[in-house]
Amino acid sequence: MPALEITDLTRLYRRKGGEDFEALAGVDLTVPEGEVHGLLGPNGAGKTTLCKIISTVLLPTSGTVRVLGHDVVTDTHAVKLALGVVFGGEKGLYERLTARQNLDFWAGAYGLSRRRRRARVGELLERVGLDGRADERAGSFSRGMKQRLHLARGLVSDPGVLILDEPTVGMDPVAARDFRALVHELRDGGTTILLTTHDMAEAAALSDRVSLIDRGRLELTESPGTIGDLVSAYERVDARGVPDHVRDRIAALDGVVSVREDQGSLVRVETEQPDATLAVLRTLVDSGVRDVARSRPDLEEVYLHLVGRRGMGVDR
Amino acid sequence: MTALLRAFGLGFGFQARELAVSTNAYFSLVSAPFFTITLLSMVTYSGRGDLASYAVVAPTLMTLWLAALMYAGEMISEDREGGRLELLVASPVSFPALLFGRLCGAMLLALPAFGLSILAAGLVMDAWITIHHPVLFVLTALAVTVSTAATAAAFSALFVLAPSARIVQNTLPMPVFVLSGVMVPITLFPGWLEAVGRLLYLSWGADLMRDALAPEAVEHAALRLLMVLALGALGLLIGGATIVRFLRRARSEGTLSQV
Repeated sequence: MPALEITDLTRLYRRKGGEDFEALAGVDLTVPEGEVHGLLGPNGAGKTTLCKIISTVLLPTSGTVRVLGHDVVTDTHAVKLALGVVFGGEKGLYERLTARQNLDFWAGAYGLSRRRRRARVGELLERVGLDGRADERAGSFSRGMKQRLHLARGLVSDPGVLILDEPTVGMDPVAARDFRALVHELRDGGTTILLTTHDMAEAAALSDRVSLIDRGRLELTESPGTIGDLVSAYERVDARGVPDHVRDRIAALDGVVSVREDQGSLVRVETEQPDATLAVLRTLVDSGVRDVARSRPDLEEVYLHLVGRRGMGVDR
Repeated sequence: MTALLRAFGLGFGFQARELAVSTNAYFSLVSAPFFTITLLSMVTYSGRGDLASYAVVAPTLMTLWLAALMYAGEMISEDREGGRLELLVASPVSFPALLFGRLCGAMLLALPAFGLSILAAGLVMDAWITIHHPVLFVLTALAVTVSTAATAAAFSALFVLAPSARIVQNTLPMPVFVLSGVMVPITLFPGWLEAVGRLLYLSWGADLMRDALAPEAVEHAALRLLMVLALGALGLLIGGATIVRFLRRARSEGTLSQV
């Protein structure tokens, strides 16, 4: 039985005086038990909508979602018992209460007895490195510490499936590294994890498979290695003071996707073959252009290549 | 049933804990002794010392009701703004039972108002109130407190849904205080208005508390106590249904996290 089984899932949002907005359009996804599944996509792509439907806080317009065999609409209680949820951002804690009191409350909400709560809360605080600050008010915590407390909260019921929606936002590098170790540990323990992130490196490092979502559609589901190969094929070269005839020569090179002028005198060249970057650099240097920089595109630029150009606008 | 009781207990304990660290909340108690002094001065000036119990009971119930309205209006909204409402709905706990438990816990805030009013009457006005039927008084106080929390549950989802919740919240106290006979005996009202007042648990509770202070034997005490609880239970039923409906609508429209 798959941990997550999503079939033809659609979610529409009503807009006052306008057309309905389609946040998810016919999404199909199956995540087997024990898999860490990365969900990548730009803002407004539908990642959070998908997480909310899985976690039962949002009803689908059509289609079905099953968590460990339980339907999120008709068997909500069983789904809630099987799931741990960590939504991104700083919010979600009772700031006047201590870290320990917060976790104790959430453990109670998941039905743990008082005795089990005490043991579980202590164990989780230690696991996320907050045992030394357990009796301090959550409101006094840094963003990264709050995020760690959120993670602990998501784990109070020892869930079979864990939804992590942008879990490392605001974490410092050390905490993010510890978080990754924790995810590996959970996977080794058999927990299924759906992880949404903007960070391709994070997705690649943590996930067994990665799905790319854009405009409410799942564009592809691949192993991180395959996505990594796709990404590494794309590079860009920025240069200043490029004469027009050199630009034309570069545009004609094999593997050059685009040559465009950005911010006045800056020329940005995008390539989709590893050899093409070398050819572009050689052409620039041979033409006497010295102000040159080579870099990898960021995630959003990769989306442009993988899912087609639609500008950087966010749909909603 | 066990799950509901557990959710109630969780909510009650949580709110009591939060109350312990929310020093600002206690400012709502400040008005109770001042109300007592004002009302007691009026009945004394009018030569109606026999109405002194009104001067003690009224401020207490007013504090209770004002606290209920405050928490009913803000509990769900604060959880929503704080990003906790979705997490609560995503958890298996019964949200209406948790909310009712929290509201009952919040009502603990108003209980000291009883003592403050009695002390203010005695220390400032030298009108020491004797509780002639202490057991009945305590039972009634508890029943009124639980029924107030139950009624607040009915209002809580309504306040989240209503576009002008704040106005309703600010307008509601005075009609309720008058109609429930907290300040003026409803027996003085025209018959039809008295009948309206009798639909409110608070009118039964206020009468019974005043009777518990008086030396005379209290008639039909058990039945009247039952009325307080029954009307409170009705409020709870309406509240539970309203909350479930609100959650269903918010999940359908995707507005659980919207503020």
